[in-house]
Amino acid sequence: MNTLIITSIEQGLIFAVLAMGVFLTYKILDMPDLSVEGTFPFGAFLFARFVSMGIHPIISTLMAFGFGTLAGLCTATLFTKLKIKPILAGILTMTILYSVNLKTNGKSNVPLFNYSSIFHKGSILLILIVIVLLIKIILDLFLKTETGYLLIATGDNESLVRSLGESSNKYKLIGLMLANGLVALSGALMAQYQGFADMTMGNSIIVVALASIIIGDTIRKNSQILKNTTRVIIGAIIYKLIGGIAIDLGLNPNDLRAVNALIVIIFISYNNFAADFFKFGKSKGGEQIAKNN
Amino acid sequence: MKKNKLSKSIVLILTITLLLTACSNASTQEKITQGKSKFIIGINQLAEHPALDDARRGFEDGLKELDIDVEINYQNAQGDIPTATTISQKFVKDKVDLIYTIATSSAQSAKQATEEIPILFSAVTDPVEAELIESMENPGGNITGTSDASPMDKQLQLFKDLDENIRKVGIIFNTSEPNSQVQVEMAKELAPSMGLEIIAMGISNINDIPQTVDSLAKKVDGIYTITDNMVASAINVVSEKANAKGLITVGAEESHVSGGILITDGISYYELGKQTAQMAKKILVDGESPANVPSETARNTKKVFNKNTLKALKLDENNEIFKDGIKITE
Repeated sequence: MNTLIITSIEQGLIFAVLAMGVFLTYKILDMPDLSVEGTFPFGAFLFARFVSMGIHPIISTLMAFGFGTLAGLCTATLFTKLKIKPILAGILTMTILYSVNLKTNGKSNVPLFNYSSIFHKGSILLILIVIVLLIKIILDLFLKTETGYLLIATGDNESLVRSLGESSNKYKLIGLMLANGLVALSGALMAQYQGFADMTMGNSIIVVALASIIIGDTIRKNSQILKNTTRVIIGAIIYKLIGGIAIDLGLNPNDLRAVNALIVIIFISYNNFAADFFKFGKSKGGEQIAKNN
Repeated sequence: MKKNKLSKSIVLILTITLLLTACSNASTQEKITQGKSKFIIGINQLAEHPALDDARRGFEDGLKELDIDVEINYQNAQGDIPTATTISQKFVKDKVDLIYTIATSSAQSAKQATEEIPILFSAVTDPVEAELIESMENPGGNITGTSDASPMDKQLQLFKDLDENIRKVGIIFNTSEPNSQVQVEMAKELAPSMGLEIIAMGISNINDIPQTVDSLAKKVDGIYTITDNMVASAINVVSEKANAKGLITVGAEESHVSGGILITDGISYYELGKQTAQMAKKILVDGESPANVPSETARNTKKVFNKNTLKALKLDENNEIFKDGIKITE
């Protein structure tokens, strides 16, 4: 197979982990969490730090997830305790993380090619598929638990959760921590895949995540079988493939960002208009939304 | 009227005295410079960095080889430009015989601080663009030195030397780095005369590098890595993918070769420092004005190649090109 396609799929799978994290905040909690741009390199730098201390790459990757959840804790604290608006709370966390990332290893670019990675044993593509599927299954199962249902309910109808005598802030905290953990994990995977951690790797990463979610939404829009997590994964791979094709066609790199944004706009418009056009008269009931989730 | 005459004559006397003192001062200083065996040189180095340290050691060793007796006052600004300015001002106050500056900002700070004391610079890529000198041939003013611009012609020639059949050479560059754009234009200008064609692909995000290298690898016979910070950060991605494809890679810097790029014919900062020491001799011992000492680019380049990459590409180590090169195994 073409190496460019393989690279695109591999990167798509790594970004699928990122997109699943952002999916938790953006879709389920209905909260814009911009800290992602800092958490992604944070995960990469954490991994670099641990692996250079001689810790096994698998454990280092898991630790990147663990410490990544702290970024979510930070945003949630700013948001729930200090009553800072969620969008600003995310930006503040991202800003803090910039300094933290520099402190983690003392430099803005950490080469990792002298350390082993989880990809050293076997095919990268296969390992990534296993990791992504594993995360997807765990996430699906988690969303089926009582905590999971309440998490979904917090995003859909916060007063309902309160009326049940539950603190909606608690579920926001859980959602944000889990989301940031996954984003950091994605960053750790990217660091191992590329062989370095770099300050700039988080730039405009939020666009990648949102685009993946939105593209995922358009795939077989009315299908009840496709789980949201599956959509997100497919969306991330498609987004990266489109990006790869755009690069391969020799598109001016200065236009590339705009093209990326254009892709997202097209998919959103399709979601908003084409769908309405095709199923005119059908209304989307609560039952359907409940089933989708 | 009387008063006016008096004041006029006072001014006249004062002027004459001043002129006389100035002349005598100048002549004594000249005598000291020519007769003195020990010169004081202030070194203003911008930061601690292997390349910059090499430029300093080369200069010091060069002076020793030329048998010039000097007293060196070495100051390092630790990457802080205001500190570099303070250091230059201190040297001017101490009335050193010559200021040796390493890196652009240090050179600019020294030029700002004095118009009399001769200044030599090294590790400056484009001294004309940095407004240090008027032109390489006629620097003008009190400053001249050596540029560390990499010899791109020699580096591109390596493709032809390694494989006669190479036609298309790929370059990846960050579109937000002005310096990279300049190098791409330069490569495009140089390439046709060597029978090469440059295919440049830009990136704006470090995460785009793997896909861009894949795409580029399909279109070219070899990859040239320019001095670009984003590409340097991901140099191992470039080299791994190129090696997998069996593409010959040439780097602009030695650090690229340690990152897996096959070969470079680059400048040695140590040799550059030595070259600058010879210019110091011209100014201090021969008494030439810096304005008349042309600025130079590196005279001696050295080839550095990566042994592992050489093996991965199944190239012959006994090839003429690798004979005088320095091996790195990383």
